[in-house]
Amino acid sequence: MTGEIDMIATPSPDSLEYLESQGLTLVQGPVATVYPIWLNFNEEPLKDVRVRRAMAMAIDREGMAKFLRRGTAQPAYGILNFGGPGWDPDYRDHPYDPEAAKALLAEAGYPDGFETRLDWTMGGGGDVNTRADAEWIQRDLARIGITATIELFDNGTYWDMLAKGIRPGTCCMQVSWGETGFFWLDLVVASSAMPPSGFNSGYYDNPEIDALLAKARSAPTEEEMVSLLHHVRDIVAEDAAFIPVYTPMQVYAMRPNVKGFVLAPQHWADYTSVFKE
Amino acid sequence: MTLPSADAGSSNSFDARRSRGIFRSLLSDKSAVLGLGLLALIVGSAALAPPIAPYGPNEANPALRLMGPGTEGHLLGLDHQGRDVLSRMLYGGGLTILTGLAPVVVAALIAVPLGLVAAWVRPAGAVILRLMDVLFAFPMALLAILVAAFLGPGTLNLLTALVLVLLPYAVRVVHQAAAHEVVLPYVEALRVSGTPVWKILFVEILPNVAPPTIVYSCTVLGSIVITAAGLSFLGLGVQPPIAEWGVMVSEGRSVLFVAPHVSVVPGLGLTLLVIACNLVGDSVRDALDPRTRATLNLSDNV
Amino acid sequence: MLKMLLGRLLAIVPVLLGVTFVVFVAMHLAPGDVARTILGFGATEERVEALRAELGLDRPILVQYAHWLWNLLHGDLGQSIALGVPVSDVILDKVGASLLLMASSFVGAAGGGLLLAALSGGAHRSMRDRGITIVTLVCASLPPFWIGIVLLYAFSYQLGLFPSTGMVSMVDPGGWLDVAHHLVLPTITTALSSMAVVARVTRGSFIDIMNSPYIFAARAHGTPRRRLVRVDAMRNVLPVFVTISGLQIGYLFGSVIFSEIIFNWPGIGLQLYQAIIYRDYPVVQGCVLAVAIVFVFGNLLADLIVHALDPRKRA
Repeated sequence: MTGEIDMIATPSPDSLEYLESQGLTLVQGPVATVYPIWLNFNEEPLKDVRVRRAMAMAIDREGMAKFLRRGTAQPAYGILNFGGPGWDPDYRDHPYDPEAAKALLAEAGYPDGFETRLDWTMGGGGDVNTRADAEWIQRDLARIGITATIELFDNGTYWDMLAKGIRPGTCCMQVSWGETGFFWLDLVVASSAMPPSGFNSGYYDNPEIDALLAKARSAPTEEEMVSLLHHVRDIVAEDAAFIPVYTPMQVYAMRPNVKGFVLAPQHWADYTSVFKE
Repeated sequence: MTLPSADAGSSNSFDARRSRGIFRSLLSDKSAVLGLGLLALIVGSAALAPPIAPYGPNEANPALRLMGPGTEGHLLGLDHQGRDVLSRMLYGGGLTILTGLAPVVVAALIAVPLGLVAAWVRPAGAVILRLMDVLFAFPMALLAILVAAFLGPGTLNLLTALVLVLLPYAVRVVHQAAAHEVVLPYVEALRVSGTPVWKILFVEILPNVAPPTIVYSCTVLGSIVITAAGLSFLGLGVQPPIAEWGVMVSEGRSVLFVAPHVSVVPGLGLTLLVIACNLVGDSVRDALDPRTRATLNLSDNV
Repeated sequence: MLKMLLGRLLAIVPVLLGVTFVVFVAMHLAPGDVARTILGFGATEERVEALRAELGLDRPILVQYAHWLWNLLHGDLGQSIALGVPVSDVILDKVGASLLLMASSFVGAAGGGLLLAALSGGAHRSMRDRGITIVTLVCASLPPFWIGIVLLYAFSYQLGLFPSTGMVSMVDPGGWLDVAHHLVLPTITTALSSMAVVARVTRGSFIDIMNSPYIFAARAHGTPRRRLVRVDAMRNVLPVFVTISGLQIGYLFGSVIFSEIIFNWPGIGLQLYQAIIYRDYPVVQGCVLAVAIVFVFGNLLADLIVHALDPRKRA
């Protein structure tokens, strides 16, 4: 390192120790966002809820956050994201249990698993290491017999693909999403948001969710809104329509001469208050 | 990348009798023995991967991610997913060798009939050679990248691309050797005596065309191993999580800062494999064709 | 000489036609719909339909090719999918950096190769000769993408002697010296294996010539050995040396792609790699075509130099 860098946004988690040893200060904090996996309801095996649940149980979210992200992420459970209304730190949906997942998959008629594909983004913006994520998930799925190939796309193409709906042959896509409000759910889980009108890209169709979201929007008190959102969360979890994976930490490494840096509460960082001494 | 000298042995008519002594002469050549030994070691360890590898190729211990060589139970360390590098080296060796060797063999097998026919039927030969000439206008690696990029990633497409790229060189070698033969008196005699053409080509001429083809295949092997691994390195060949040395070098690039062994170890294996191939290739060439030395001719080679 | 030059230039025309045809046909290797492949999975049906019409995919392939070639001759290589600008702009932007790296690599490979050949071939069977022979064997076998990574780690990350990325310093661009500093590692990466091949072949020629009666005669007349190597033998290995160096151009073109990727050198190779990753097929085509055309002319140049140097061919 030749001293050319003053600040690195979202450095690779593996480089943090090295950057600290080079005299950079790390600033980190969680962001109001979550990485959910979209599941494609149009794929034959995934039409069975047991298969989707088995997939959710196959993925070691704790391990990913702890080892792959080296603690720069928290495992995420439930579609309600950290920083948004109704988020509950103690909530757990499908616990990691590959053995039970394998049994469930066999019960659904896939004792030898099946073949599918993961369409993944190579990252952009706040996403780092997304390829390693995909490989981790690929390995977790392989453990219960699901053989998945990975195809990586640049972020622009990836969002276009998500907007068009997950293509046939692909079971999963993933991007980070989440806001300090809950309106993003209207764009992602509501049946009115199926492509091309929204990002319900896996064609999850549950009218109950639509009704609950509508009610939550006009809920008279925050308490009622939260209780309705919890209901949404529980149904999504029961249907295993999405698999939330983790909430990333926003990490910045900077030289000590950079002052005045404030972590943004939502997804985008505010660089206007940063100055170099 | 090393020199695939397309003219290796091309200017010579080979004496079939001489090739009998080849094996003996190879064994008396120190660098050939070294190359063969190294090759045997790599092929052997790759073939024995399942019983001798300490872990499965995709078995991961994420808690030990990126730990270096010498970590307990992991002689060569672990990669970015927490997989054992030694085990992946052993399992990946086979595919690394295969993606280098298979295109060379397949290209030679296709080139023999094409080259023989091109030498026998002059007009057809001219067409075939002109078509091949166009492909010489590309640097080999570049043409392979072009073909593989459009075919899409995957091991089979990688092999297809490499065969296509190698074919023109192999056809030219066969054609040059065969063109030498067809004008010899013994061929004329066979023709006059009414021997069927296929018999003349594949029974009588083939044994004399085989040695330069083998020489060429051996000398080009090392550079095809590098090209194949290079395409996988670019993401155009073998796909993760399959273990293959080029893929492994590429995977280690993102953690080079903190865990250089993830890239360095597979690259070292690759280098040793190529050294072995080049030692054997040079020795085979010297044994079969001592006259091919530095006398390269540009018009023959580009 | 002029007549020969004209002949060679004329001979290049069908080669260039062939090259463009191969690059064009490669597009049709793609599985499935060509227009869909080019535009990517994210594109709308209307755009795909529009491109289909533009390429004339329903017409015979030769008609398509003629149309494509016509556009090419007008500098139109299509539009980059990822960057949204004409492919020709993308390539013209990068070609200079690649040519610079190619030139320095070629000089390194040829110069280094000749030096090593003289050092070892001039002292056949000495320790030095054996040492150099082993080193060149290893170097000729090095995968460029791996040696680049090793050099990057050792000389940039660990020792901090050379920059790890780009062509100029981002913070403090310092002119030619800065570029030269950035050029060192990519040049070694590109040139190393070619240098070894040049050294090996030229050494063989050196040994042959040092053992020729003509050199024996000169030695008998008391010409110092050093002068024999430097002047007399050197003059005679020149044709072989120039030929083998010219042959390396093709390999350098392969290696340069990898060293550009590893050292983030802003040339055609890096662009090609990014285009592959982004499935930006028009740019892939454009980059391959650009490199192939430069390659054809590079070979012509090498051919002319060999011709000029070789007394037998001149006659």
